[in-house]
Amino acid sequence: MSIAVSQLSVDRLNVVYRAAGQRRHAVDDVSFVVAPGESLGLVGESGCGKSTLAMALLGLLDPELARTRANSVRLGDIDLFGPGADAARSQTLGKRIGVIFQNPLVALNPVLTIGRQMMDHMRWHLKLSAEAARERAAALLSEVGIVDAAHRLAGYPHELSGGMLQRVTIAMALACEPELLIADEPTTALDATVQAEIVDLILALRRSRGLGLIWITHDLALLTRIADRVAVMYAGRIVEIGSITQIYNRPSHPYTRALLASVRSMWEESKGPFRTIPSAPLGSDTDLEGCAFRPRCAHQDKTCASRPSLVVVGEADHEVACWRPVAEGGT
Amino acid sequence: MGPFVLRRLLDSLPVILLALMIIFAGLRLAPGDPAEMLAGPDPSSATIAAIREAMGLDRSIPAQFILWLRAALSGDLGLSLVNGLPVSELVGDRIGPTVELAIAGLFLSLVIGLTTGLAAGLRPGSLTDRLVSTFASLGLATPKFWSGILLIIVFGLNMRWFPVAGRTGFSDGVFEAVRSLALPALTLAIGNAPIIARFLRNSIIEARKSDHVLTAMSKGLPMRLVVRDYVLRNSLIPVVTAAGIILGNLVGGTALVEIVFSWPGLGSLLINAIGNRDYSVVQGVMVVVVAGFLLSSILVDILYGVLDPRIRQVNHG
Amino acid sequence: MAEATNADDYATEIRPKADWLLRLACMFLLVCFLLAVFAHILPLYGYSTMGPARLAAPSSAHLFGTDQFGRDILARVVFGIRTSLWVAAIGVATSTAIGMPMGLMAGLLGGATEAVFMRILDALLAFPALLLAIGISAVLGSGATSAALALGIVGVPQMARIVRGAVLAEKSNQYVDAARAIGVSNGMIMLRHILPNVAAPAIVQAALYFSVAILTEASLSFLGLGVQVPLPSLGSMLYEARQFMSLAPWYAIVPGTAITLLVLAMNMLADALRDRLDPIQ
Repeated sequence: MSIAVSQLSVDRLNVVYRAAGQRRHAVDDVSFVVAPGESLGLVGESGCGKSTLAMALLGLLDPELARTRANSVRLGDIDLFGPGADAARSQTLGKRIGVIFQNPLVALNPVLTIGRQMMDHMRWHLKLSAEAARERAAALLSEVGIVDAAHRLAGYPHELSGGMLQRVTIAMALACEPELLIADEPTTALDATVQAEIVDLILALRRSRGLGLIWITHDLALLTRIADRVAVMYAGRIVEIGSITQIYNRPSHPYTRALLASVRSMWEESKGPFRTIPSAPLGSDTDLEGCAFRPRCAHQDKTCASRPSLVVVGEADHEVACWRPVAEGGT
Repeated sequence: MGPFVLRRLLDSLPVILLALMIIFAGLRLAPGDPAEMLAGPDPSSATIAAIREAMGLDRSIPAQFILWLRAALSGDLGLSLVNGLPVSELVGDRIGPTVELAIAGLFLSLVIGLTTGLAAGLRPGSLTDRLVSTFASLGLATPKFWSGILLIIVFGLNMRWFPVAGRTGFSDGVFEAVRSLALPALTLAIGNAPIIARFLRNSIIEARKSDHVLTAMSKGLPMRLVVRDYVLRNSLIPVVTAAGIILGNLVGGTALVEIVFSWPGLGSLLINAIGNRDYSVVQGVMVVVVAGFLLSSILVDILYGVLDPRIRQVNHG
Repeated sequence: MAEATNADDYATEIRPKADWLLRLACMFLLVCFLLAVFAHILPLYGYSTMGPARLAAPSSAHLFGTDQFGRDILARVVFGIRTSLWVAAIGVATSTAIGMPMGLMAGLLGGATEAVFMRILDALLAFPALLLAIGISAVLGSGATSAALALGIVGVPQMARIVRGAVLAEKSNQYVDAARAIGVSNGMIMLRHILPNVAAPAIVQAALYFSVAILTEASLSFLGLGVQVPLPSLGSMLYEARQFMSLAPWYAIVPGTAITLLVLAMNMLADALRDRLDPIQ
């Protein structure tokens, strides 16, 4: 069941929040590409801008709170930020891009039936009749592992457990056969056992459909199963991007290394102390001029006073934004 | 749905009973001796004693309560202490106009409140919003009897669009009936529409920020569908809450409005009875009003269950 | 989604609260309070001093005109404000004095106490507020004190519920369990931990109820149930004004405006208090 899948390319996406007279870049000049059918992991600590990035490229941020700008955000040859952006978005969202959110219980409307919520965008985008939409919805629910699908369609979100509900939202996101799935921390709110099931489900669905995938998480270990490539974010910027093996085996940015170290120490040194990253996470006084990670970096020097851009390190598809990337074997 | 309704009815039984006890206590605590009052001018002590026995006033308090309760449940609300007529008759004559007024007031409050609340909620911070907010504050602060008088002065006396007092029944012509109902109902609405408007406005603003609206937008649904199915549909529930709140205001408010407009309803019956120390009538009106109020509260709860599937669930245990 | 809500913390939607309006409201309340306290000393006509000019329009002699007995309306309005304020104040105090302990006991003790109290409150709430006030006034007889008492009783359910809610919210806080585990007595727990957190919502509720009390007192006097002659009341003035609507429309305007402004100002104050003390409500 393969569909024609396009490439997503984001060119210089910016999100600025205005509050109490201050401007804050939640997403700072971000560019990246997701090849057709590729799976990209977007990882970083809370507040680094990863969720904001996803909402921003879809144009879903509240314009009263944040200003979103980009050179272009293209899925195939349709630009979501060019002239005609509104039309582009209404044709792309829900139809070519499906979104899964973190907390399914609040992501779904409590007063509408599950069937209604699964079908309304199907009928809007695909112009299906109620009958056809219902059949399709039931089939989708079965595919994601919900038994008694027809009965569930008439039910309400509060009747299902978290894991089941997340399956519903996955089915909902896939309803119009999108080319790309954006999953914003879909397993963070679930129990560990259920997490594994959902991960398996998404992987299986992706394989069978050849979908592209952006998986947002703070859990770097999780991405080993899911991602082809990984982009590491810090303070709204991508500080390193590469394949999963490159990031794991040859992390070059000090932040990536620190992230990995704290993850590995959990698994390998369960008796020893956690390795934590010194000092506090980003506040609103993050140094915008130079490297954002500088206040917490053990390697920094005066070259870091100016902002580094992404440069290739090692292999061609492995880039890092650092003046003094750590070479193989370094601390 | 059935079990939910049943449960709700059963839950309210102890409350109804307690409320009736309060009314009965009030009746017994009121000054004056009912037997004496019924006996007429210059009665002999034997007459009074006979009346007392007939009314059951010589029994113990709990026994009296049971008697009274039984009578009330079968529709016998006692006799007026002033003219000896059955209270149920007096109440029956007056209940129609009051219900008419209350419903008209509710209707107008909903119409005005929903339209203004909708306009304000969909454009928060705009001029519309601020205007609505200002009028809402004013409407809430204005005493009903004053706005009634002002309306009479402006629209009744000056412009002569509406009659200034009294009621024309629907049997005497729909147009005239509506004309006489207009100002009293509007008076009720001025104090209650703001509550509906505020609730709706705030719930629309809340709903717009909610996560399920974000999901709906991420599905590519056009804004009008998002507003209709994910914002407004969810905003209705707080409006039902608001309607429940204004029910009490409406029932109490009719007493005031009836006096201002000389409307022949239960409110004016009550006030006159108090003035005449006719506690029998007072008690009768109270029983009917409380029963009606409780009934409408139950209806509101049922409406909740219809609109919000989670409520139905909770009550199943 | 975590990020989107984080951003909300940054860009707080502050409703542009007209600060000057609030200050105006507070000043108005202060003026009314002073008027009420010093009413007897002010250079006004007596409130029952009758005069020759009946139902006179506003003039330099009588700023707001006179009523059907030639009494100065301005003087009567000032004393009417005084009446409204003190009856409402006693009503609010009574409702707090009864409602707060009820709410505290219901919340802290739970079990049968709570169940009984809640049922009683529900029974009181089965009556529409104004009707309950009317009923109580009917039983207690008319007059200022019975009106105040009626206001007090009518205000009990709301106050008790708010207090109980606050107690329940605090009770479920972990530090209460911790204190109990160490062996702190119930009384100490109540004093140290729970009471301070109950004060805020109680104050807000008292402020909110104050304006309701003003309206209810006016309604009771309008119906003839509140303060009696010779004490002037804004409500009874409006009742009389109604009879002379066609002859002297100005008669109705001043008392009604006074009530409306009082309630408006009080509402603004209560809202501001709520925003400062108990924003979750």
